[in-house]
Amino acid sequence: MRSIKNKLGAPAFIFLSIVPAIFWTMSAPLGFRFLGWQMVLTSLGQILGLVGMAMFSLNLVLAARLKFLEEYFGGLDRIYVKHHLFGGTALVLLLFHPLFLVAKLIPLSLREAALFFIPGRDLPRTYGILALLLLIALLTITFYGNWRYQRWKFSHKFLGLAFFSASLHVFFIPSDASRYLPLRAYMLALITFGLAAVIYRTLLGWVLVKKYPYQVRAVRQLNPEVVEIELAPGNGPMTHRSGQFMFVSFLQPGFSREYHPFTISSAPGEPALRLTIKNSGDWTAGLNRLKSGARARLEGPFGRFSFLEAESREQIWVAGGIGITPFLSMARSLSGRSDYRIVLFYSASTLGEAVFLDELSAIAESNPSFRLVPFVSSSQGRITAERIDQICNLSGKEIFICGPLNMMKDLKAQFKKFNVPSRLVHSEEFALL
Amino acid sequence: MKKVVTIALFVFWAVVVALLVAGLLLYQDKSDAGAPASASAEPAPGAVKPGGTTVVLSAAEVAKHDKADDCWMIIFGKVYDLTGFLNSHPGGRATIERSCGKDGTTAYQNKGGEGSHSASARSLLAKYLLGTLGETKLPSQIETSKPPPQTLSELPAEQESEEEFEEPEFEDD
Repeated sequence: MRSIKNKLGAPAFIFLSIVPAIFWTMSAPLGFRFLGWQMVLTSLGQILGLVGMAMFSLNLVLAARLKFLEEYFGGLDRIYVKHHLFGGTALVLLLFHPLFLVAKLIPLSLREAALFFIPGRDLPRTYGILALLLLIALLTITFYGNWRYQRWKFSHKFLGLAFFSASLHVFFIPSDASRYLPLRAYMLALITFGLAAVIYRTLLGWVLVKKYPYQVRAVRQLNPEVVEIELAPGNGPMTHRSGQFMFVSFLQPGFSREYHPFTISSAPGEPALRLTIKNSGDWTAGLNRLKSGARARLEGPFGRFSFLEAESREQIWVAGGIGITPFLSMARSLSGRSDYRIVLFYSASTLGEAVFLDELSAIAESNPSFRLVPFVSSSQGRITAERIDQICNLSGKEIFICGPLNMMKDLKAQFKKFNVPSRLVHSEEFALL
Repeated sequence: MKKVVTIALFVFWAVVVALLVAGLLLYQDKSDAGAPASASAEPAPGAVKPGGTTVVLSAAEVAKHDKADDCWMIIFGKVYDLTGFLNSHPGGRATIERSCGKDGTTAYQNKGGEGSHSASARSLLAKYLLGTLGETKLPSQIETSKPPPQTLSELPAEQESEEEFEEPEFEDD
């Protein structure tokens, strides 16, 4: 039953987005709506606007980091994957919305068709044009701009403004949404949820969103690329399950204060919370400047990537590079328990890149049900499903993968060829965070 | 996903830029070809026939055109032939059809409670103008945005137009 619940989120989202189209079909006789090419295009244009706006509203709710939604999508990381997908879809629908509506004006008057896109002629239409322009600008940055994380994130917040302008458009433009009460009520409800989500995260976030105060206890450079940060809790520690991630912000002068997501590499119950972070840009490169005593704030924990949530206790863990972090937490939490049989494949390009190999080997020594198989890809080649199968038979095993996107994609495809059911393969989608 | 978004953005900008250029910079107005933009009583060259019948745009005359395929309407004291516009009306055909042959000023003014028509609607309406209520027109001047002719008799041939004009078109009222 568990495995069905976490598949419900996306279909439910799609259904809720389509409901306005269903109301639309009920609000006027259908035959009349599709009489002649002008009516067909107009009707399609109307539907695109309604469904696009519904999707936009629901997508804002997805981005609100609501913990209860994690159960229906399989973790916040998966929610963000869907947020990206639905965001792009809503954009496409909303781009074609005005194009389909303007079509019938073209044979009548090219001038009127052109003026359709010029703001200022009437207020409701102006709200729509401005909302769409802002949406296009912000999503162009998201899809194509290579902005630094904090700049991109700041820009992305303005989608709330685009949404607000779009809501005014939906409510004041004469349309099925203004004439047909059930549709109007439904759009009002969705838009309210969307606006509430935006206000919760942005304007009222500082008071409504729970942040745990922590303090930097130690900062260690494990190798030229990887730094470990040890954090001690303030008043109330954040409890997590192994494999989860959180968002952290550091309050040290000279450090930008935005939140970044990282997997928690310490096991639950350890006195200090540990993060093992690889250099992937300006901000992460500067982490070794953090001083002991610096204040930090944590939001979380999130994620459902955990060996404890598996069907099978016979498991294979595959880590690529810094993807070892969730498995560090999981391995450290094993301490002595023998009810799971685990083989951890740790792949790194060079031996020097692999962190905590000693600690992991020690855990393997002391726990017979945990086995470590290091893989050095520069000398042994890439890790593949076939090689994993040769070392410890794939059948009946549940697999957890965390590593570079391409590695996860390739491995998942290979496991499929080996007939491993997809419900038994789990991956941590951290690329979009 | 990204590919779809890229194509959609490209199409969107291509269409919008094309429309802005064609509609505003080149200032082409295709619909001017079909409808008399000026409501002057100046006859079209070669179409005036000595002793030809004229048509008075009276309420009685308008009332003869009260069908979906022949729809005239009085709005603010002017007479319009809205036949060719029915399918393009954003508010639907029915809202116009209700007032075919009648004075639709009130309905046009408040859209049955929705409020007034926009500036672009007003400019569109102007293209369907036949003349002012009570004005006398020559048949050749009432050449408007009707759907393309179905039979030869509807084509405005030079010599025969006035005679044809009295014929079948008005018979099935």
